[in-house]
Amino acid sequence: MRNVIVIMLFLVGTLYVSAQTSIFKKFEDLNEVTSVVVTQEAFKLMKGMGGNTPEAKEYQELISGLSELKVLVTENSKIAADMQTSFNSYITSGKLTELMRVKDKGSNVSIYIKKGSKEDIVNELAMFVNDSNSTKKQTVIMSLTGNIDLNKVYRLTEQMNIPGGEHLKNNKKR
Amino acid sequence: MKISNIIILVFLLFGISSCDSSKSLQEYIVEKQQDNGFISLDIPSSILNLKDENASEESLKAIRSIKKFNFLGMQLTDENKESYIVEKQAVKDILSNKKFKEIFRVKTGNSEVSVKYLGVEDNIDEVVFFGADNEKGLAILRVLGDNMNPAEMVQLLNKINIDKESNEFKTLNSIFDKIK
Repeated sequence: MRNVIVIMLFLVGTLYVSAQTSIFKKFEDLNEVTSVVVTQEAFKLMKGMGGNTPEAKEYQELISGLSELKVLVTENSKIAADMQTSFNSYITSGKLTELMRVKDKGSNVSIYIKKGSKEDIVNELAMFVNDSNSTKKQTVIMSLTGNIDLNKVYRLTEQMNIPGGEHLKNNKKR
Repeated sequence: MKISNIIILVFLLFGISSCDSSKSLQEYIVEKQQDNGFISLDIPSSILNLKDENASEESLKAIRSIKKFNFLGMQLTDENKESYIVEKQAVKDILSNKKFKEIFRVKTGNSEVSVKYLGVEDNIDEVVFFGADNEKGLAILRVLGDNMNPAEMVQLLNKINIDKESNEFKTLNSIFDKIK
């Protein structure tokens, strides 16, 4: 009996760990998924650019805190359903909390955060977008990690043209 | 006697494995330059010219920090599908070495692109662009330099002219035309 419990715990443990780390790995290699990964190195390189205007300063400040940006996009409905399941378990296991949910003309956007040390600073921003509005059905998962200032992050999503990013802008008016 | 044999064997194994893992991108490219299935091109940095003859000291310094470009490509045909898969994996293995710092990677159904660099963030020695497309083939472009600074490079982009009359440029252009 005790053995069974130990095995069960072990299984749950591995599931827990793999759910966190493999969500992107699992989908990144699929043929019908488009993935973008921007690493900390890129943010380090971008930090030096943009000049000395106040806007650039703000941008540099935001960038210097970032660790990694990952985006997954698919138009395959089966993979999309799978993504939804994985994303949900990722949210639960990673203890992320919902920041906002937007439903707008057939597109559903949910944004989750992992709270950081200060108010308005979060350690992770995760977004799930289900877009059935346009002619092409699209499902997007985005995860941004690091020290993120919620009041500034929409600038980045704007600049990188990430689908659903415009909803983060509204967050500022909160 | 037996123990010393084992020790020798262990040393041999270590020797072999360390040789294997240290195969560099440079060695790979040199090896493939001899291979007819590949297109390779060495482009000197003289292909880049500054638009403004009275350019600032900074942009001169930036342009001088680029030494040369190395291009290696393999065009996919009906015959070389298998070797394409092998070579793609070989390049990816080399580039998976931790010393290459990944800047970003993008992957869509059939193709992938990644950009990595060697050096430290404001002092880059080499930038490697790798692209593979399961219908077109693969390509590696190395930008070799000395103390390249990314911020200066971006500013430089607006100030340079590519010497379109040079042979290297024409060759490169014809390669891209073929791939399209």
